Amino acid sequence: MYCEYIPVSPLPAPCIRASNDNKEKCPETEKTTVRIGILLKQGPYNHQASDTAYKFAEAAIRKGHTVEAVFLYNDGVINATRLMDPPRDDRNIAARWSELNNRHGVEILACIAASKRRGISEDIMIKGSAICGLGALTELAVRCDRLLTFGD
Amino acid sequence: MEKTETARKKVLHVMRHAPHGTVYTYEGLEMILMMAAFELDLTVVFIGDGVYALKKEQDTGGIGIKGYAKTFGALRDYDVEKLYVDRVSLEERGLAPDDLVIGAQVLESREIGKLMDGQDVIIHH
Repeated sequence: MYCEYIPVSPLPAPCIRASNDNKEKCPETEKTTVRIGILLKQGPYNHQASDTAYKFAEAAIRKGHTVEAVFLYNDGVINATRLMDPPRDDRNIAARWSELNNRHGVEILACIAASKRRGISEDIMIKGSAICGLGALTELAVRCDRLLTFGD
Repeated sequence: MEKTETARKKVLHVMRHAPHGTVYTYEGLEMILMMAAFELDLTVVFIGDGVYALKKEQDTGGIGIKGYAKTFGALRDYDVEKLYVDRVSLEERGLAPDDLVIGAQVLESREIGKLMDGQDVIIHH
């Protein structure tokens, strides 16, 4: 489960960047899709960031964009614990991330230093998530068209 | 064109919180130090209460938290040399550049906006 780096994939062709300068270079028929990385800095339930990030990822995927990974930092790492057990009529935020991984291959990555501080370890993490070094976030930021941060 | 595509990505870290009330600035510093090991064009800007992170002579003994202002001062040793402070944020808090642990360049808000505009990635802390 532990991964130090995510393999770097080649940079996308310039024409798929969602920038006005490049629009005319794109053939009319080609769909403009964006590769997205998400940085989530807040814990679940306490703050809207987990919900907003999830809703954003869902909407982006529905529109045909690629969400490569959600990187959990600060209290965001708490999103990945499978020990959470909310009332049955509420959403289970951790299970929802796991489902996003299962259905769409979105990697759920928790920073190792932030996780260690908060008692999050691989044996209590949701299926489809992994503990990573900050190198993984760096790689994500470099290879995606956009890195979006959710949290205060 | 090919040259710009292979050029180092420009990553800006924005420090916005006072240093000890939340963990954002400390974990932000950890992230900056980590990213310094990669081939990136790193910049750090301090705005709002973020400027307090650089205040000289902080004594955290009484609150049982490890101080880390000096680590910001050592960022240059990690080749992170572009450090900027917002002038208005400093003045609003009664601080002068001499009160800071590093010789960060003071910028106007407008210039910080331009700086942000030129980045590939912006991470706020």
